[in-house]
Amino acid sequence: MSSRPIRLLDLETLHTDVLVVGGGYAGCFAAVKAVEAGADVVMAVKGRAGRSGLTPWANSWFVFADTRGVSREDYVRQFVLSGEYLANMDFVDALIDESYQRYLEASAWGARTGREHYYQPGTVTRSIEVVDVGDAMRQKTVASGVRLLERVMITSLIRHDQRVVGAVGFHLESGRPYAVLAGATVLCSGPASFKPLGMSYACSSATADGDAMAYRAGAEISGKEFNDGHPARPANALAEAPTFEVPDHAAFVLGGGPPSASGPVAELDAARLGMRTMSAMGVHDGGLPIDPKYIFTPGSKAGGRDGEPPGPFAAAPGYSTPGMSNHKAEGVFPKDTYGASNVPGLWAAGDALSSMQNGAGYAGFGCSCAGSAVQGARAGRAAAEYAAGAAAPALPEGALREVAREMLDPLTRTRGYSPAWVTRLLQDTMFPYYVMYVKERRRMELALGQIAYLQEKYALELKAGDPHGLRVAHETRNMLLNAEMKLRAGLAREESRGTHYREDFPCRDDERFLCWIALAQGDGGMVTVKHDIPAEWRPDPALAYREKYPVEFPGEASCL
Amino acid sequence: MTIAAIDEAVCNGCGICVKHCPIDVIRLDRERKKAVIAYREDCMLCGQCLDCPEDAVRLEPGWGRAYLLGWG
Ligand SMILES: Cc1cc2nc3c(=O)[nH]c(=O)nc-3n(C[C@H](O)[C@H](O)[C@H](O)COP(=O)(O)OP(=O)(O)OC[C@H]3O[C@@H](n4cnc5c(N)ncnc54)[C@H](O)[C@@H]3O)c2cc1C
Ligand code: SF4
Ligand code: SF4
Repeated sequence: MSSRPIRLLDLETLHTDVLVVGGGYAGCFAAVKAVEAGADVVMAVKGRAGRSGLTPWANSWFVFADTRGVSREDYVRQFVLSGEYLANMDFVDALIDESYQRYLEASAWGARTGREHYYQPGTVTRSIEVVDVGDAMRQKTVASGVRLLERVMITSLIRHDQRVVGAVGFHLESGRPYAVLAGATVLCSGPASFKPLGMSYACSSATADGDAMAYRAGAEISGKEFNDGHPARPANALAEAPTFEVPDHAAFVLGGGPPSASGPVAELDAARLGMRTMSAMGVHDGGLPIDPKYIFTPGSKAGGRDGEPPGPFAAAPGYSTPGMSNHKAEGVFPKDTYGASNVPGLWAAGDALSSMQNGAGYAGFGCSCAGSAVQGARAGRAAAEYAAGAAAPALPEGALREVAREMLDPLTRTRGYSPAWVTRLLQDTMFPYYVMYVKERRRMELALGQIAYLQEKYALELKAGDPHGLRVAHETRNMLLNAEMKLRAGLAREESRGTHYREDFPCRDDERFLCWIALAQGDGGMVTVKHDIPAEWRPDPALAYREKYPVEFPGEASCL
Repeated sequence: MTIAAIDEAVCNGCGICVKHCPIDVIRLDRERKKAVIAYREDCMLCGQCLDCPEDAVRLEPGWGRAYLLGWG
């Protein structure tokens, strides 16, 4: 990083009805629907709309249409079982009712369709393959008249008179600070990760920025104890000279290529995709170390379609996305089915919303991007409606300049710590499989102690040499907060369920944990809040344990 | 591993790779009209810069950050 003094540019302030943060599936649908509902919209994106976050890599899209005889009840049962009774069935209904319509819209905007009718092994739900969606959604967003701020990272929400009235951010190249004053703000900023970089799954631009901003503005965040299940290649740390092969269940092989790749997946350039998988994981030779006794394939047929092999679901471990929760689990805790948060003026959608559409496990491919589109559209409309009735936010210019100054702090420090170094310490604390994937109280407490120290000692003393470094500094701070959330939620859930596995509590505990665990700011720091699952979504208590939970956790016999 | 090189001899300065990189690894040298790898250490090897119309971008193993301790 350069040691040249940074020239701070003047704050540029924009006024709008709805601010959308993020330009993936959720953000683009939110922005377009807000415009259709009559709002003026500004969209701020850390990268390019349609090309950043997780969106560029998704291509299977869940639909409930032309299901070849599979009933709605079968679909619903899939979510109930794979979600292990933590799925929010209102969001499941929204997905089932609205995803096909969103697919038709994406197609009308220019997305192409690959395979039209396929089922993922082990699921009953139908997916359609979509290609080039990202660029099509961006074009539609621009054509709708949305004002786009690309390569602008939003760092904090502005709170005034008990509500969120917009956000501040800066341009990644010029460093220009922006304030966007908005009647309503929709966070579509995607999920979290601890930047696994080239480890296999392209999720490193997702750093829990939305969760961190919302939490600091008073919102509840939930779903943090679960894990994304996309597998890398687990290997025994002790194995000698293990050989590397592309696993046929690797995320890239299943997920396909970026939207720029031509044609549907079957015709994609396999060498190019393979190269990415190979080189992404080859550096480790042995893949990711894990005690082999934890490599378990549940192999349950529950919810499976006749004639198709059962796939691993619910409890399959994931190692390619450390720091990321099960799709649709983590994020702002919703107050309603439109993604409103507990803070007036603030909505969230997609991977930034804890919709719990998939509960504690993943219900099948396509649910995630389609869910983001569906939830984005809902939040965009709701935010537009709210903004139309809300007083235009008025804030003294001095107050805005103060928020912006805080944002730029790492640039103006003469001394400070390197964000990359702090990130490395965070990764080394959180990445080992025995912290996040195979959990246990004492190990999580030790990690929490280390994360707490990193937060107290370094998070507010990070130094940036240029605007890129400023981005990395904010991401580091946000990832540290996410680490604390994951550990506190993991500690609070003293049971195993779906993608959350506790070695010291290897069974489901329906008495205590048919609830969502939210994290919020308390007087003395972070507190956990339990929200009970509504009675009608709970399993029939008369059912035997194995009937409720066909997937078996290691060590379960000890507590049954 | 990260992005390894941008071939300046063929780069036409169109800036597509800069726009497509989700991590802000590549910058455009506006005077020379060439793309430059500015923050190699942050590359996540996603391959979106391979959309280069001149095929000037090369990704390969051997560059980048050392092993993460936690992952062996
Ligand atoms: C390799 C891979 C394959 C996948 N395959 C599938 C699949 O086949 N089917 C499926 O359903 N799902 C799949 N998924 C998951 C799916 O991609 C995501 O669930 C979905 O794209 C999430 O969309 P989103 O809009 O909610 O968030 P994202 O796509 O993550 O978008 C977040 C947006 O917010 C922006 N942003 C983040 N922080 C900030 C900030 N601080 N300031 C401003 N902007 C910010 C980002 O730049 C981005 O534009 C896959 C994911 C990956 C990585
Ligand atoms: S996309 Fe290719 S030609 Fe265009 S700036 Fe980048 S390297 Fe140069
Ligand atoms: S591979 Fe991805 S992260 Fe790396 S430089 Fe290219 S676009 Fe950026």
